[in-house]
Amino acid sequence: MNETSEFHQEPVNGEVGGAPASSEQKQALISEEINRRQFLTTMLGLTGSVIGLSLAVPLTGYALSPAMVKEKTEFVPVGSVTDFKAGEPIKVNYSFRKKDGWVDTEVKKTAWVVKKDDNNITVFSPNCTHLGCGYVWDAPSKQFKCPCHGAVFSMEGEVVAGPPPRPLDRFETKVADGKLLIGKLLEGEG
Amino acid sequence: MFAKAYDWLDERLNIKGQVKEILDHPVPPHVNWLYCFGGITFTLIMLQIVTGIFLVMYYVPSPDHAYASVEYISKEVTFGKLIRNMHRLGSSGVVVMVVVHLLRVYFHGAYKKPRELNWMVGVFLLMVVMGFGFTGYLLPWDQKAYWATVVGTKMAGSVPLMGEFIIKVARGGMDLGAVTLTRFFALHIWFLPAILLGMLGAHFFMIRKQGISGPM
Ligand code: HEM
Ligand code: FES
Repeated sequence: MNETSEFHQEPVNGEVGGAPASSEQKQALISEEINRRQFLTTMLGLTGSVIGLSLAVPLTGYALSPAMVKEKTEFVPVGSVTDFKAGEPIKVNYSFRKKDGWVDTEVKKTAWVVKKDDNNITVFSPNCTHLGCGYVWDAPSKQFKCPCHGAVFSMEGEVVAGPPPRPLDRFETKVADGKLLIGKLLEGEG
Repeated sequence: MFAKAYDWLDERLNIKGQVKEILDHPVPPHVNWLYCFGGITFTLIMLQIVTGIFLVMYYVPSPDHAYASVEYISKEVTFGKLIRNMHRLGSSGVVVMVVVHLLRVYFHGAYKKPRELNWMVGVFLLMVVMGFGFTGYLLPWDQKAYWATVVGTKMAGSVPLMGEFIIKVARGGMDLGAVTLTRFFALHIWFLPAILLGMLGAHFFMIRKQGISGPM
């Protein structure tokens, strides 16, 4: 089938220089040549693999580098404990500086703070757990309402009505020197 | 395993003949280690291309961010220091090897008929290699980079009559700035590589077509 390769005659011992060899010598040369060829092919493959590998490892690490950095969230202040009134959720704007690769940026965010008393403050993520719309506080009914698909959450963040699969997400909180701080976002459970 | 995969490919593409033709090229006996310099240069160039592609992953060609992004590569990216320094050292390596290669060709008289054309292509390759060095040197946007480019472009600007025009084209204005950085970047990563690869194609084609030059 594949005849082209058979037609291809390659000169065995180079074309240039040297007296014509006897057929015995030629035979010896051919077998030596083949051993040498195999040796060189193997060495070439080996060297190539070593070089390839010693390139592939650092390059892979380099490209995957961001995945190897542990994200750590630090607590950021969102206001004084006294800013908030019991039973009256307040939407707070807060900001913090964040290292974004080589850029130092100011990130602006919001959160809902719900205070029962000084020792019982919950801070909710401002995004509806359905598809992420921003919900609002409906004072008359004392419920959170989402304008997108009609979700209703209680003041505790539980789903009262609508499509959300879980209660509102909330932040880790702590109070220090009368300031309210929030940390990692915890997914609402239920 | 490889043999089997190769047979499979050959059955469909009938490539064994061509591959043999390309790889099993007889090398005349007078060829010795001195003939390796072109190949070494090419190997270094391939390394430059690979490491360069990876550097662009984090580098930003803007005065606000260039320096910080390079610093980020060196200090925070895994193996970033290694990749960056391979590219930096490699650039000097290419220049050194290309000159050694040129000297080999010169002292063997390998530039003589019928290889004059390949010598000329070689001269252009030399200029492209230096172009890479000049444009790449600016990219970290540190003091050394900035002033080296100020001086380099000013030299080009000392040409009578056309001086101001040349400076404006080279710097993208009278002063070194954002426009200089982006055009040097574009030259370094798109224009010069395209020219380089095209000319290397011509260089290698001619070597194959004419065969390596004979013994001295
Ligand atoms: C980008 C850089 C270059 C690369 C990658 C390169 C690569 C090569 C290679 C692989 C060869 C085969 C023989 C050998 O390696 O000695 C060769 C031959 C040749 N090169 Fe280059 N080259 C480059 C730049 C140059 C320069 C700057 C010149 C001269 C100005 C030049 C002139 C020649 C000539 C005339 C030959 C034929 C030599 C012969 O047949 O013996 N090359 N080149
Ligand atoms: S996003 Fe809030 S109900 Fe759909």
